Amino acid sequence: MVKVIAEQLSADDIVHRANKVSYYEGQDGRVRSEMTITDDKGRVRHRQMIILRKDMSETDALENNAYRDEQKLYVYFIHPADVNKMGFLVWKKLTTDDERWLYLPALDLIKRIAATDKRTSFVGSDFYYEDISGRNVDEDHHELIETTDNYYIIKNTPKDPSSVEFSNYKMYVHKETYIPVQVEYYDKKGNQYRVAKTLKVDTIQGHPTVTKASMENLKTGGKTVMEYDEVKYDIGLTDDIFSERYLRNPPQQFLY
Amino acid sequence: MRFLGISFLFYWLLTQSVLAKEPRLPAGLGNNSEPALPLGLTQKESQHRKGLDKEPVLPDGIFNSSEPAQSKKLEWNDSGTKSWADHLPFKLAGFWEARGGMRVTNDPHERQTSIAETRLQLRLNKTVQNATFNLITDLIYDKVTDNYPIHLNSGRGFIDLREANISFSPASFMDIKPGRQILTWGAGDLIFINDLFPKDFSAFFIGRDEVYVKAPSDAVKASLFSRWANLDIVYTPEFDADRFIDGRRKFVLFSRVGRSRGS
Repeated sequence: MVKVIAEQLSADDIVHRANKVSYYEGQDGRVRSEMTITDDKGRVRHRQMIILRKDMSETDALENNAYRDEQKLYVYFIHPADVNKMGFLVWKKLTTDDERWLYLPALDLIKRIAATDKRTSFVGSDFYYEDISGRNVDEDHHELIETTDNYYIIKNTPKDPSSVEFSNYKMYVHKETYIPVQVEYYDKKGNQYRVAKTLKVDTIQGHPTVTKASMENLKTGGKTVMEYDEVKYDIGLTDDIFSERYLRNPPQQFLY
Repeated sequence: MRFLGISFLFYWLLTQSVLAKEPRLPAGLGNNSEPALPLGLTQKESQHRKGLDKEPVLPDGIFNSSEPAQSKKLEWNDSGTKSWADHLPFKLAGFWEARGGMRVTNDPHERQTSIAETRLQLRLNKTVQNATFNLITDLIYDKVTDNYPIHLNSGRGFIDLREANISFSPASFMDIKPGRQILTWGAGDLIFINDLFPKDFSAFFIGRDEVYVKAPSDAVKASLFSRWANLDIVYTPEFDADRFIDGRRKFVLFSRVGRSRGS
């Protein structure tokens, strides 16, 4: 039965399921994350942060993409000392560009991250800002190019090629959980230059959750591994936390 | 009243979605690209791959979805993250740095060394109910000025007290922060056009980290929040001057008296 339904899914259906499982499970969530950034010479740096998320949609339903609405993210940096107490806020939009702010406590400065910077490094890692908050699914054309025993293989082509550095990316979406297990980015010459991998999955409060992922930049030789810990869904985050006020004054009760 | 301002958080942004023709299928997207085996994945590959060599191996745990797994505690492998500092009754963070600078040309008015300092920054943080205490202080040894008596307002001497304040919320729409704090008005990176709060130009020009471009203020800040706009009111009882170039480190010309000073 599952198989029959599964085979009727369109590329867009699969992409929406993958989008939901990656970024929209539950109404809100909290995670503690450790980034390990390794450059081509093997030098290692760490970043430790708390990520809070709240969905504006009150449902996880896939019908009419009801799960998908505006979303707010709050990233609070703990370690190392040069990023300690830094805050990063994202208001994810559906039809306009996402809004992003970075708070630098030593300067008491809230800095807006331009929409054009969304495909640049997130705090020195190999992940881009857009990888953390999720790329808007409407920005690409999706095409199911192959179905294997384990995966739906989706080719995504940007609607506006000038807005991104890739010419397309290929996603291996796991057929049972819809987790994108591997995402390969290809440049204008058709060479793969960037690859995201899911390394570990845990089921937490009934939600299949990626607890370890990596991003490799094949051009620079850099690699970042992100591990997730203390994952919790539906903790009752309020809307006001995702504001300029709480960027300057971090919401302690949700951070520690 | 030194400063009054209203900050609005309204932004309009337009997206342009220009449809362009699809780029041609690149080489390597076809059937000969073989993703490398992910790091640390040696098990659970055989029974699920079924002869498909080109697809990625399923990650750990993806087939255990029926078992309720708990998010386990990570073993932080960074020595700085789980240490004696975690057992203190307050949060402690900080860094130690050494910084040196030499001039490459001879200047009759300036010393050959522009900076030769080492500093230890300690940050103490404690939240009790709704109040957060915050202390940030730098301990400095600087061979260039060789000046150690403490002078908190100018930041000269072996202690530079950056922050010592309490922040609390007396009402749901209000935050109050009295004490020594760094204050900034505006959103520019280093271009503070209408920012009247004290700056440290000396730190900026001798090459300290850019966060030292702001000097601390002794003030009370009240922030009022509403749906439409936020209002920040700052009261500085005593004027806090910029830490300007004064001849201790950089050459400066006093045009009114026709004299110059350097070190």
